[in-house]
Amino acid sequence: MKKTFFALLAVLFLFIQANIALCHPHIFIDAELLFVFDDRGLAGVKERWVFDEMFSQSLLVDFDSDNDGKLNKDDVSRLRDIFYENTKEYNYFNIITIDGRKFPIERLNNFTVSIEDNRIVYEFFVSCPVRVEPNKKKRVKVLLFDETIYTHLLIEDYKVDMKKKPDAFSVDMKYEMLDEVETPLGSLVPDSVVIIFRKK
Amino acid sequence: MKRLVLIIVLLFCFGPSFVAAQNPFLDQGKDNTETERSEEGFSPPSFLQKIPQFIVIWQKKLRAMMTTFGRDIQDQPFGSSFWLFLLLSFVYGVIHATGPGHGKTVVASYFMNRPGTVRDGILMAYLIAFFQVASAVVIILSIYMVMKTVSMSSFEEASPILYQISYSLLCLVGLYLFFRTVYELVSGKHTNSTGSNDPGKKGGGFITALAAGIIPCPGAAIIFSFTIIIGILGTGLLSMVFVALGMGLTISVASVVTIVSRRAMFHVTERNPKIFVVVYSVFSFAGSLLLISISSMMLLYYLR
Repeated sequence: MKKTFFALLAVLFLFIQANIALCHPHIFIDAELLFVFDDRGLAGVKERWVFDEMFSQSLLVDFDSDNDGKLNKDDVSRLRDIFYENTKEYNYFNIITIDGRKFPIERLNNFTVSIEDNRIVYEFFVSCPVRVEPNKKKRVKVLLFDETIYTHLLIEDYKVDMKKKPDAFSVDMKYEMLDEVETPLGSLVPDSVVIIFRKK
Repeated sequence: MKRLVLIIVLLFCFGPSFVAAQNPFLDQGKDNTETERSEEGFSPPSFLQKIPQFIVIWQKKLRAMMTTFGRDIQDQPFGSSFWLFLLLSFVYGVIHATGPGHGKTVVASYFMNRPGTVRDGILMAYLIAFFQVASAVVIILSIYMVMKTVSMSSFEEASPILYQISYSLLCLVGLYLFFRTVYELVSGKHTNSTGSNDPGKKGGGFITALAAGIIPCPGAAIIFSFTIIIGILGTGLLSMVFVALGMGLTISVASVVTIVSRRAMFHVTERNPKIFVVVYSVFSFAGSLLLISISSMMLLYYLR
């Protein structure tokens, strides 16, 4: 009877497991984040997405209209429009929280596309102003994530740009990992970057 | 009868959910922003967290290595890079198929419902893998012959109709299995057999594999189109065989585990008719309901 019970549980478990999505990564992106500060606090995040070479070549076939190995203004506009249209509802694959509250992105700024070492590179600025009050810490978390899992985004690097107001703020930054991805096989990958800052 | 209804209701309550995906960087001629989402949570949905991260990372590494070897093959067609490319294609197939989809749910649900031998399970798994890769190859080659280029946008545009056909057929298979289970239970024909006397077994498995396999594998399509772009079409075609061999191996694990579990459970409980009928019902209804619910949800998504 015990065996039967456990077997039935196993079947139910298999059944529930089926809710894992019918999709998985086919595009891989290495991302870099640059947290840009102005005199009030955080102005936003400049992002740089480098696509894997295999998919980059497919993108070029579709969007390099004159087959010269470069992307002209119209090609970039088409790439931008499709990217905006397909990802706007997904907050452009950015899940940004400010002190725990979700920040909706209205639009991306300064969107450009280039080709580096046979790889397509998207660059854009996410305006995300966070004004810092005296003696108050602010916590911003950026997670790059395609919830359909068609695209896998890895934050490879993150930096701070404080050229406009050097030494005005003290900043702590760290990767935050999801406990769930800790496996005995290792290969832990940072999933999000957390930046905590306050006025000096 | 009450027990049967209770089992069906319970299985419905625990039914699967889904997320469908399309390439967000290409124009598919369809708004793909319709997936229902929760606005409340700020963390990734739990299904992501269930996918071991190393599987994703290894796929990424493999793709990068294959890109390098592919470029080497341009200079030295039959050098070591050629063999490494094929080997990595096989490994990619194995790892790629460990992710969600790729027929594991289909073979598992089919063999939860229907009897079968280990050989049947492996055969069906490889049929699905080869159909999925062949479907991608045929689409890419057709685009190449018509347009003289390998447009992934055209591939994305061609795919939804195949998804619709596939999920319609799988839904019909699920419904057939459901009502067949009801008939078997009502008429007392539920037994612990391998189905060797079942005349429709091979045909049913083949139709199910074909229904699941006509969905083209985008992972295979990206690799194949890359080989055409860099001018190594022959290697690309051969590598697709290796991708399918790898995928089939992984899907086989799902089918064989299901077949062995089902047989073991039936063997343990067949002496007690009351328990056996419950076990038989749970396995059979879970299998058919899984197929019906997944395929109908996906069908509705692609019909929108």
